[in-house]
Amino acid sequence: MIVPEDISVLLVEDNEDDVELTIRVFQQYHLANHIHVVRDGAEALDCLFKKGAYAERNLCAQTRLILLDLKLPKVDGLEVLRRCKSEERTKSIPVVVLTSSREEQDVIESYKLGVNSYIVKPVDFHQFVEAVRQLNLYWLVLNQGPA
Amino acid sequence: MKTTKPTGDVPDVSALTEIPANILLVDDDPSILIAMEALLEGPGRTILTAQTGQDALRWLLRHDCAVIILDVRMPQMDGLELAKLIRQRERLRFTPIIFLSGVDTMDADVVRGLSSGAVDYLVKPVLPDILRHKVDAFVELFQLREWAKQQVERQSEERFRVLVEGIEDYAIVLLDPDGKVATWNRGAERLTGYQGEEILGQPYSCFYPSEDVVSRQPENDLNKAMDVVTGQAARVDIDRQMVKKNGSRFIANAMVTALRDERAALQAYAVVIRDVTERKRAEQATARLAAIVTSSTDAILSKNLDGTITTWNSGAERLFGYRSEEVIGTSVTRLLFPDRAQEETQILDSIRRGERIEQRETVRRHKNGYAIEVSLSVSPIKDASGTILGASSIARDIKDRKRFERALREANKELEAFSYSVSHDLRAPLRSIDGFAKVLVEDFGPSLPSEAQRCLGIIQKSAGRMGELIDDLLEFSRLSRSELERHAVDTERLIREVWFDLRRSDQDRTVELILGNLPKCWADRRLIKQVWVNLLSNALKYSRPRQEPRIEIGWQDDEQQPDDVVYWIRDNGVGFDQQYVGKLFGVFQRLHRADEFEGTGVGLALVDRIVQRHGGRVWAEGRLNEGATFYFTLERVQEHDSTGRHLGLVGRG
Repeated sequence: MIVPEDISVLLVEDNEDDVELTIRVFQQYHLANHIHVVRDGAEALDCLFKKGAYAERNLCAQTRLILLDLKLPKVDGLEVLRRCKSEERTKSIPVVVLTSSREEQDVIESYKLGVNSYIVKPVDFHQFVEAVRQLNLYWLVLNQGPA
Repeated sequence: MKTTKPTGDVPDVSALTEIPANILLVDDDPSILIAMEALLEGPGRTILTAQTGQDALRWLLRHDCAVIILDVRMPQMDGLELAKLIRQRERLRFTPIIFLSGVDTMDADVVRGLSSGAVDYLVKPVLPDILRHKVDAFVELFQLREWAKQQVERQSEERFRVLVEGIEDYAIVLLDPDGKVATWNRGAERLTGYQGEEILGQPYSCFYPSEDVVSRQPENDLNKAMDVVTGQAARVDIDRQMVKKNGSRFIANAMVTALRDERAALQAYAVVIRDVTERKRAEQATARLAAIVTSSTDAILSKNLDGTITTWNSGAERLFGYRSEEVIGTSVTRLLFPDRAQEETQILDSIRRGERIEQRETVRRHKNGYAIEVSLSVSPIKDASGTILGASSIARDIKDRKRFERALREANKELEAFSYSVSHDLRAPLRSIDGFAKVLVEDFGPSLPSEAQRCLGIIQKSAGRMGELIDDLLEFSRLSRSELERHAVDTERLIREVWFDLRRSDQDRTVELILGNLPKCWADRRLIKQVWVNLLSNALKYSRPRQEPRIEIGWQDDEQQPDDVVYWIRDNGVGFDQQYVGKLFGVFQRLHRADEFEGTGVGLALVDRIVQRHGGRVWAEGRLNEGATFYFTLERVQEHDSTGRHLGLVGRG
């Protein structure tokens, strides 16, 4: 199994259980090493824009995909999305929104801000694959099928 | 008097001689009176005789005479003196007088006699032939004059009679002094329904309702006419309820005039009756309308086309704070804030074009300067010819309604926030329960005792069920709140779409669908699709135990709402007990145990909610083990016929 070093997924999720379950899915497909988890919107922004604790790190350059929960402490998901899509450096990073339900307003609002796809939690691998396929990041998953 | 009409201006001789004529003979010698009476007698003539001037005058007071023959020499009052007195009376001024005198009479007497008004002078002894010829001539002259007078009277009477008889809108009736009907015209016939022959001679009271007859109302009304200034044409004008021949009542305006002769004796009553029922009704309606306007809590005012206020009711006084005397005659712009002055110009422009303004929500200014939220309706006021004279304006205070609307919007917003919170927060722990139960099964399944596995299974199943409940509840709340977008929906096509979707996931049995030719409806397609999904999946679900499940869909006219159509869907499934029909449409209400038929109990509640939001009604009929029929109404798109047809859309099995 060959995994390119620069492939990285940023998971923005505050719920411990959801983080664990999501990582578990990725683990099953041996992708867990490439996930970086942040617990709120502010941390997500720091990470993407090299601020605060992330000032010395260059995670942003490696981020190829953002999995974004909408309801987050401090700065909410939609705000993270808006900032992300308005910066030249980050706006080309595909964003997959994680939603708790199909409540329309979330989805419509996030599409307005340029969200690329969404997955209803709990994240299961097939859904994830489907979302990723839509984003033409097919290889990211396909090349790393379960061992 | 003969009633044959004269054929021309020349009188018929026989008719003439029948006109009565009086001849007055005055002489103090009774033998001469007797002799002359015999000489002058003839058909139609009455000879009146007097021996003194006083007796002669007494006759003349009461009788017209064709000619008077006077003896010049009489004791007490002589003929010349009597002639002078006769000439002084207006009525007798032109009555011819013939003097008779003795042979010894002087020429001077003749001159005096003629100058005192005599037309002829004869000397006694009189030649009988000469006297008779002279008298005949005067009698004929009198008769001719009388005849001419009668002709004129009769003609004018005839014209009047024709006129009165022909009048249709007024009943014109003469009553004799006893109050009995003496004449009857066409108007009376039309108004009361009585024919002339049956009513003549009947008492006036027969036009009055029995209760008024008992209280002597008819007599009182006639007496009232008598009471008014005696001797002149006296008239009373009264409104009474009267009764027609067929017993129906009408409101009559009766004008009663007492007709008297010269000596003030009552001759007749002239009664003119009009039917004023319509007018009275209109007056009452106007009075009622006026009362409504006056008592209305809405502000009702009228203005002319330049915006000058012309009327102002008490509702307007309450709403705007101005008393009517303060505002009538002033411009309506004082009720507007300056930034809305343009609005009044627009309103008046619309009114001039004959347009109405219906329930426009706007703001007006109270006398104290504060703003009043009102709903305004303005209509043109037109005269009989359709010319627009001004506008009536109704303003309703909508402060309370606005407050409720705001409260409702707040509540809705809170509800949305609540659903959002439910959808996110309630789900998170559920995901953990389900997710970690799965982890347990995946990682440790094989090593767990079977009882532990069974328990884990229950945990997962319950978590899944709770997820479904939350989903349905959210769906219910979302669909209940979403905006309606109405279009013409092809119901038949929509049903087939839904049917094939549903059947795709349920292909292992055959279900017969009988689909009538359905009219289109005005509805939000997405929401109505949900209705059909829910109803059809119910029908499929509850007919599952049947060997030959059959679902029939049809329609009928809505008897309560002609613009609506009633759709119905019938299955031959397990049905339900009609006594629980009230529970059918409640949220989370179920008539079956979960192990019999799956479901959360939201489907029909959703159907009910969606149809109600479209302004329709939903109801159901069912019998245990004999199937169920669900009905709902929607506004119909007017087109095509009603022939049902068997489409035989049979699911593959």
